[in-house]
Amino acid sequence: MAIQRFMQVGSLDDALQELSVHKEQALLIAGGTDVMPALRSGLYAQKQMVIDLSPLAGKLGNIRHEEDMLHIGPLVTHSRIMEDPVIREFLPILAQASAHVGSPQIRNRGTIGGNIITLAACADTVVPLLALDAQLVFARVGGVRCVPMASYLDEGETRFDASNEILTDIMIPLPNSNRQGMFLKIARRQAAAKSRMSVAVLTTIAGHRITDARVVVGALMPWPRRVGEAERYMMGKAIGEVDPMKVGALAAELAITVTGQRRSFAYKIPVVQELMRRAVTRVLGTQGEA
Amino acid sequence: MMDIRCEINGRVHDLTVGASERLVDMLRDRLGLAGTKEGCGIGECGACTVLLDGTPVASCLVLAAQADGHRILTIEGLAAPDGTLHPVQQAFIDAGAIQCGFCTPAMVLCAYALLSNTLEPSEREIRTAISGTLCRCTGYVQIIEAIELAAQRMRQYSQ
Amino acid sequence: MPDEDHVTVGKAINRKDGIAKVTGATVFGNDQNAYRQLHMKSVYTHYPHVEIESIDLSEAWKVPGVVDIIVARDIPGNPILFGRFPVLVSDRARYIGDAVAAIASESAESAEMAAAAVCIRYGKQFDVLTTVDQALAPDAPMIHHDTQGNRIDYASHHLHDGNAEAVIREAPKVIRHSYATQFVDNGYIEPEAVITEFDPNTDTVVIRGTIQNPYNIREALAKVLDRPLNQVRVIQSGIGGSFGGKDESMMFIASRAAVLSLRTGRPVKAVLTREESFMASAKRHPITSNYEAGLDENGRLLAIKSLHHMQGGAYNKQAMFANWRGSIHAAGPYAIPHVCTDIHGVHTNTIFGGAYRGFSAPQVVFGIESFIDECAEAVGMDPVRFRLLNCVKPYDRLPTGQVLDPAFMPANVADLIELVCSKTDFEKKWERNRIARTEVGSTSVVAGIGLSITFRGVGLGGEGIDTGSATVTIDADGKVRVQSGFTEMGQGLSTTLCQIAAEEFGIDSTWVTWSQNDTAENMDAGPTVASRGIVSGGNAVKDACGKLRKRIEEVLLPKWMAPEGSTLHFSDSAVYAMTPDKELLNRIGFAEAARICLKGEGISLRSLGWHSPGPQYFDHESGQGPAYPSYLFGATVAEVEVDQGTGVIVVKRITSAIELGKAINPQIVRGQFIGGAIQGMGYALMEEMDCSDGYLHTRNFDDFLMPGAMDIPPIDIIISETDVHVGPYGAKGIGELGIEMIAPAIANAHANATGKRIRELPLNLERVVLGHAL
Repeated sequence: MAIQRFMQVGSLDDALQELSVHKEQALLIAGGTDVMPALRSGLYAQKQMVIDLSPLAGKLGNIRHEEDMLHIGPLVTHSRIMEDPVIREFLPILAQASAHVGSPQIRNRGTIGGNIITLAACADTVVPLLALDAQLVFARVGGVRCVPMASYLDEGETRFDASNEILTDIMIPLPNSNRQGMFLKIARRQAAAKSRMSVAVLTTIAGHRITDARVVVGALMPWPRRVGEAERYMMGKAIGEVDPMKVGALAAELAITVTGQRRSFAYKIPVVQELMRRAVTRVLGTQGEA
Repeated sequence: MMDIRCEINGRVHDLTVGASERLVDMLRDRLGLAGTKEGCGIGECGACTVLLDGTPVASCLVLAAQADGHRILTIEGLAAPDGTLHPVQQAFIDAGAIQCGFCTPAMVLCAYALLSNTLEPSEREIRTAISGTLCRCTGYVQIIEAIELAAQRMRQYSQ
Repeated sequence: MPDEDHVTVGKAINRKDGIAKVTGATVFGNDQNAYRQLHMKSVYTHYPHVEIESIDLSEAWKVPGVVDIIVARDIPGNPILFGRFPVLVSDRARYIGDAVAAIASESAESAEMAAAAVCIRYGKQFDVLTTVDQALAPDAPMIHHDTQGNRIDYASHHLHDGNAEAVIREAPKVIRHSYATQFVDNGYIEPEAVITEFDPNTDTVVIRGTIQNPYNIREALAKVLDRPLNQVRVIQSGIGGSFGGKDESMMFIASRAAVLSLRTGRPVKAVLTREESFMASAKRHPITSNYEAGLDENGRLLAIKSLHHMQGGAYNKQAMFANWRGSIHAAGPYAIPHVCTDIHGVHTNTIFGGAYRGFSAPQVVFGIESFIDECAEAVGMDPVRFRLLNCVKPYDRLPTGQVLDPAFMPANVADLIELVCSKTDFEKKWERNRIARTEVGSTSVVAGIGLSITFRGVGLGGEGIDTGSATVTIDADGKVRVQSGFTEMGQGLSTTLCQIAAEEFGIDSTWVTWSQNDTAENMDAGPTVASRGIVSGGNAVKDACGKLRKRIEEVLLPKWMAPEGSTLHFSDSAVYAMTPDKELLNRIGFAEAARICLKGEGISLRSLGWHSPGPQYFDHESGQGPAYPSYLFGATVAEVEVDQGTGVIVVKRITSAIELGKAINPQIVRGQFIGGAIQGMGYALMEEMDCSDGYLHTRNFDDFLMPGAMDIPPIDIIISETDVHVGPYGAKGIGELGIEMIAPAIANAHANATGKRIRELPLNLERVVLGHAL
């Protein structure tokens, strides 16, 4: 590693200042579970200094419930997310996804912010965050901006300015109605394995009809995406009118549209359809019983 | 270079560490605590596990400088000063949970952390606690039995 | 089961090295450090099969901290090791792990920086042959100029018993299938590490490291350094797992480091990264197996013909031995009148095969046991009936011509089949699953149950000389030291050999210590492989103890004026003499007896024990003769759930019945079997290494998945102890039996669950969903 300097910052403003001075030469680190392997593989050969955000846990490492919004600081670890009582009760698919990240050792250090920023194609927490209409707050010297997760992802390479911005908050609206969700993941072994495929389905039912639906696929396209067609298909329908296989088919169609046919799709397309079918069946089944 | 202060196995240390120095290197090379191992360097095998403020972490993924102000427990800190083994350590021996011994420090620390939270772990909780630490020799069965045995003995002792 | 006849043998006593391991005190390879040591890094080729024109070290020399750099011509002795392995290459790289230089520097970081600064100029890019078919194609380029068409030297083996081809042609039913297995890594959690230094006091190069076979390394280094054997000393550090793998990779790094040590006059430490270990250490060889069988109308196997190709990689020193073992076992433990087995090894420009627990058995047993299930299906019999009909019984003749004499080879495999099948209610579940799978959708989760059986030749057999030795010393305080050229690498051999000594002397096992292997202190006992440690090592310990008991007897009986025909006995840490009339003549403590001999009478109480199985006349042309002195037998049932919609297979239970002679330490036996079984499960379901274009894409443990604690099923082991006169107290060696039955049992269970057959390993997500690899 070419890292020459290690710096701990006392405040967010300090962090932004240092970042703006050192730009591409600076590397932010929190839990290190993505950054350290990347450094080892030579990915950050041009970085000369590391800025440690962990001292900012007081400001950036909280889970705060304000009115109808849950605020999760980027430094919150996966372990805390999976154990937090508010998240478990109101945003269970996020707790489920965090519980599937890596191993206990990884979860004890890895942060939700890191998962979002690194954005591996299989980033597990991004899938439910997308379904939960999360908004990301970025701070820069002189201001903040708020961007919905979907827009953030679709920006592609220009998502955020790593030399001038730091993720400071993840805002998730809390549900106030009958909402059920499911997060499913396929991997090559039972634990500590990256997702080969993941899906999240979230539906809100009122008067036996679906009033809101979110359908998200992960590890299939370069980043997790909502399947708009599937959501539109489900909206307004009674539970019994939804064909779970159709939802799966729409998810598959989107993948093929976005990336074209890939070799792995021979496996992934039938499996995403099946996984989606199961997620939808289970979610609607639960709500059917309610 | 960075000056840091941290508590390791109950003793406060003032150290000067490199910017890119990893916690696993600091423990092994600076402090001679070679019980913490390196198996892969990317946090996948768990052999480098230490307890950071009581929770298991992969020390190959922590920068030494990040340990400033924190409390670390390595395998060397578990037995009593007079050499009496911790019940978890004794249980590993008695249950045949050790073969080559390379994953043993990490397994013992994960078990210790689990049993610090609960003395009645379910089998699933035990498996989860060691799910981030690879063992190629034992096939895990006797390790799980050792942790159950340790829990049982510690429950009896606490009565 | 509790052992009634013995005091220490058969008991689950705690391991000798337990306390050190559980406190983190054990010194493993990378825990060793020497005063003023340098750190070594190797410089690897960037291309798998390429001409090397020049190696420019000038920029590397400029890196601060660099003390020395070597290339191939700096090797003082022979730069080519057994198996054609080059310590360093100079004109041609044949696989991605070939190294062109080695750098010794003050720090590991600076050594790495210097390695990155070495500039290699490449010339012609040669075709990269990555499959057996490519390598054997008529117009394929030769990887080595002097092999027979890319075939590995001496790696072709044959077993021709009867006239299989003709019988198959006439058989009422003929079945043909092919199977293939993959490269996997041994997966020891500790990467290779070694430290070399020159000892001027004895003019000896000293190598300390994670070495499974110290004498192999000593021999290799003697050649590389052009030194006599008595001026190379290899001392084993603690080893964090090996399973056969820490051999070739140790030869490379020990050779390079030793040359650098001699040149710099300083110790040199070399530690492999996981990535380097994956790339440049032994793997399990992939084997493709083509099976053909002729059966009669009643489902009896009349003949089996098989052809196997083992992919060995660019260089290879184990295929000749592993293939021999494969040739003996390829037709399984079945009474088949006509067997024709041919097996070959092939060079490719890929990572290389070496020794990995099982040593061809996991591959060929996957083949034969899958094939047996398919034969059963073809004749409409269930897999249990078919195996009971065809398996060997006592006094049957093996295709090698050996007769299964119960005194040496209790062939109770039919009993083992009955045991596992009744315990798991096999036949009922098998039938129920067959029906259930037709009643559910093609994406449902279905249950399956599968059976496999095996036999395994004990020790090296006709592979080589299976002699072993051990030295036992009694000190003046009655405490005992056991030392041997055999290696403790986690399998518990140090504990079991000490148990045997304790049993022989009637003392507590805490009175016996083991010392780690040092070639200057011990005789070459041959490699600690093939599960031979307990047989060859155990017998040697018994032999030494017997000689020492005799010496003590020859001192004490005359001293006590015992009448003719008196006997000396050892038990309860005491030694006592009985007259011919069974009266107690005298009794003293074991320690006292030792003191009398050593200090009073000046008798040496150190003895070299020896074990030699005697001459084995085996005809390698036809595959006939006493291939092995005995065989272990086993039967395993795997129960699985297959999620047809996603490809996930969960193993719900493994039940095994094994015949292993005698369990010296039941706790260690259980650990060895389970450990092997879980490796077998990983092999079956999730492990694979992708070197399909000559580059290794499986870089670390995030790509190469091994089973974790959440993956393991309950495992039941039924141990059937039998009375055989092979190893000490009847032991036969358990290290490898666990691994070889699992993959076929799982594959057979998958077929029972889904009605589909997968003939390649691993049964990963894609193969389960698609029926083939991506």
